[in-house]
Amino acid sequence: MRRDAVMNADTTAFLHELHGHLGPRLHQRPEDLLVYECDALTLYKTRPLAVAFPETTAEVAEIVRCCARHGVPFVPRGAGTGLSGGAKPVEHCLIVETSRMRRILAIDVDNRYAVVQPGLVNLNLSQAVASTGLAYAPDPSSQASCTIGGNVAENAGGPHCFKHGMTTRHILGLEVVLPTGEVVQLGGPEPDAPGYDLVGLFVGSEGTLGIATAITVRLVPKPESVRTLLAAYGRMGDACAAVADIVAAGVEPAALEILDHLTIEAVESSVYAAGYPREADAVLLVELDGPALEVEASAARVGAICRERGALALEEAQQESERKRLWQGRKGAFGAMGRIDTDLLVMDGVVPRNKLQGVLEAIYRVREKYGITLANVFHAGDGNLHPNIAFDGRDPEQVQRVLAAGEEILRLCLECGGALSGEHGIGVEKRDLMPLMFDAADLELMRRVRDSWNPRGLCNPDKVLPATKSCVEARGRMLLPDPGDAPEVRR
Amino acid sequence: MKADLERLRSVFGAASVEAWQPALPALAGVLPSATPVLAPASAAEVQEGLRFAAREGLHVLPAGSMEHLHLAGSLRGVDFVLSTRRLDRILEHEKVDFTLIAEAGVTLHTLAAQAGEAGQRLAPAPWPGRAATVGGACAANRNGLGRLGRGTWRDAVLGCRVLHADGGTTKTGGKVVKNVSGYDLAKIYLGSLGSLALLCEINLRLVPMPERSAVVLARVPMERARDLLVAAERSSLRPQAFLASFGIGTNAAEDKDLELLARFEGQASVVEAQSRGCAALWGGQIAGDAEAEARWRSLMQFGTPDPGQVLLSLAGLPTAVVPALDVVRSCCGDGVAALGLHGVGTVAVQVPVELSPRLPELRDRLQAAGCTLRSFWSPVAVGQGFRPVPPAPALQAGLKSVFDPSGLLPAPPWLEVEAAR
Repeated sequence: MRRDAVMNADTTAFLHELHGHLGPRLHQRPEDLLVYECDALTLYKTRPLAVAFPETTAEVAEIVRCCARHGVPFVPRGAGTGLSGGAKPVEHCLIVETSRMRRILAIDVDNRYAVVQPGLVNLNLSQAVASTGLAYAPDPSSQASCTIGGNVAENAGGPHCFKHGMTTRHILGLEVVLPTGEVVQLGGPEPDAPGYDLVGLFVGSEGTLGIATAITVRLVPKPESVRTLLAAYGRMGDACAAVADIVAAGVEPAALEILDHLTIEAVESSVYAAGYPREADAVLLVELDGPALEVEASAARVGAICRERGALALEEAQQESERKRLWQGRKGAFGAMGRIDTDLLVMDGVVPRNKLQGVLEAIYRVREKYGITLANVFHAGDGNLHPNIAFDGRDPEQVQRVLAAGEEILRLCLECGGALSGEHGIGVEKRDLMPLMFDAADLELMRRVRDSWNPRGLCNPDKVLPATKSCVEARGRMLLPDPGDAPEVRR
Repeated sequence: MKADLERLRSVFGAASVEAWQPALPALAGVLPSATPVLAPASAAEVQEGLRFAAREGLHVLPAGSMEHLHLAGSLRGVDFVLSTRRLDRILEHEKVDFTLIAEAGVTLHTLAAQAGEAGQRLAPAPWPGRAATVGGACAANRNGLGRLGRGTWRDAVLGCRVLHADGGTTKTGGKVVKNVSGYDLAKIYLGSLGSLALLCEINLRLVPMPERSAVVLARVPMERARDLLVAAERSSLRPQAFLASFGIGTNAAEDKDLELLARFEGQASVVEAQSRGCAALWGGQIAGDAEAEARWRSLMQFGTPDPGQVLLSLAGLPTAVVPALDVVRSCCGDGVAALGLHGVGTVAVQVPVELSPRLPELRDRLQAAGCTLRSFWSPVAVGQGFRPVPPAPALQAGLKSVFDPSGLLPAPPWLEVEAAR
């Protein structure tokens, strides 16, 4: 990517000009910048030049134009809950933080859509429309803190996207500030906008094509009935087999989640304790939603399949509080794992569903090989694995082992026809692994598409695509502490 | 040098080259009858065809069964058609994973049969025509009537391999059902009408075949139709489709009522309960299986090019369908036919060519009602202002340049300089 020489930028003039627009909503003090050195991928850190807190589209556009005039790279950021480093700063960059753009601009119940600002917290949207009988379907585990803008950037998923689809299925239109500062409207609540599907291209582009400043989202009717079941298994293989049987039976659950033994232990020892049987090697959480008759029939079928596959225990939530309890352990799994050590690497890879069991066994062999603390919690219906590795980031040797194990796990996913990321994105974490999944021509085409929107490379540099060097060189950098070109700030 | 039949046959062999024949009588004038069609038997040969065109500076029209050519922009200047219809292999069908990889020339009929053997099906279900291909349906983004409940190609395509104008090849996405690795270029190939690249292999997500389906039909006055549809939508009914139509098939033109149709699919007991509920709400009836199938097929075929009809495809808000149908009827009167997908917001209109002088007024009144053009086809000249207008035209043109810098693939209608259509 071509990026203007940021070191030549007149930093003082840039900050002065920006301060003129934003006043106290431009943070420059080192102590204020600490929290922006990384997102939820804490392995890599770089201190930004400053952080801007715009409140309107016009302000975002002015900030971006200011960056363009001064050749300063900028990194859009929502709540910083991203797990692949998509909002990690580069050296001398401006963070454009959308947390003050959190208004719901419109709700149309009859036409089932809402228009929101990017900084709106995911869960707040569903809560705001709950009284209308509608909901916003994508529900990442971080939904109580992550923003819709961040979800758009990463094409976020969540447990219920097995049935309801990823974020891209729920985004109808976007107002985008392009890297030039120009504001464009893409799509909208009316379907099939003429031309290429620019909304589809933008969603999941990890903030490299511009900053979404207003987002038109699809709202879906809340289901008439929801039933949640938990099956405990003595062997992980039986839980995986139950998942395969449920899907093969033509049942379409809203969610199919598995937690392994170490995750169960961590959850049950934490504030997220959900009453999962500690002796289980795996628990399978199944949620069904839809018309009451359908859910009732499906629940009976799922229960029978779980028993046939040797469930040690089968529990069904009888009321909403019980349902919340069963989900509490799943939603809090990452937080619970955080108790084990100072740092947590939440990985994300996808395998074909029929390869789940074999890949899991291989992952546990990787755990032994590298002597790491690794637990699995995953979206079993999608084959979307989340190996979580707890480690001490202050120990460089441990960090190296964690990175090496992580790469080996992702290679396993790819070798069986899977993907590098199911919902966390590529960011900086997997940028240099992209040549394992795509060949040079694939990556060059993506690069040219990106450059057609972001020709100067100022908008979220160094994400998604490896630098234009040979794959060998790119791979060589994989185990360095920071895959970017900026100096790292470590604890 | 021109790419006439003899030249192409000398380069690629007689078995792979034929003269263009319109797939439908109405498409007779879309291309000159002498236009050669190169239909290679392998992806490597398709690549050769593209490299040949690039070397010679020839304009290529990627195509499948050529049943959607009316959606393309101007095809003047096309030197030859490059058809994928012989790329007809299903490369992989992972039944446990509900995924399938098909070459672009696999017909929708073949796909349905393959998936059906495993109790599965494709979610999008456009009219399969005589031999519509999966590549063509994706390139034209034909989603069918059930998209409210079943979704679209956008949801079903997991990844694809394409061939570029210079003969190169790239892939995007993958074959797993969840994947956010890199830019999702499949999204911009869908509906691109072959203007960016030629779809070669398509990775698809399948869904379980429903146990049962049922159709509810009701005839209601136009002024009650919107309220009835909204009431159904606000209820616990979860249909695959809520359709409103007039003037189609048995739906006699002189009948001033609208026909409402709801289609339910899923577990038998649920389908029965939901269809009973819908029939009660609308004062309609549950159609018998034969009637339901016939009506559904008749509506699916609506919008097939006809030499006596102008076709308009429009879109507005999901609940704007009935008001749009009202505008169509009041503007054009008898002889016109229209079909709308309530809850989606798309409206297809068929206007007899003799009523074409009313088209400018129809377009303007529909626009005032919140419905704008998505595609337009007319067998007669109708003047200007019937080109769909895309958002962010500079970005659209920029993408076209990235993928096809020499302009050897057709310009899509939204990037054409408008001439009388």
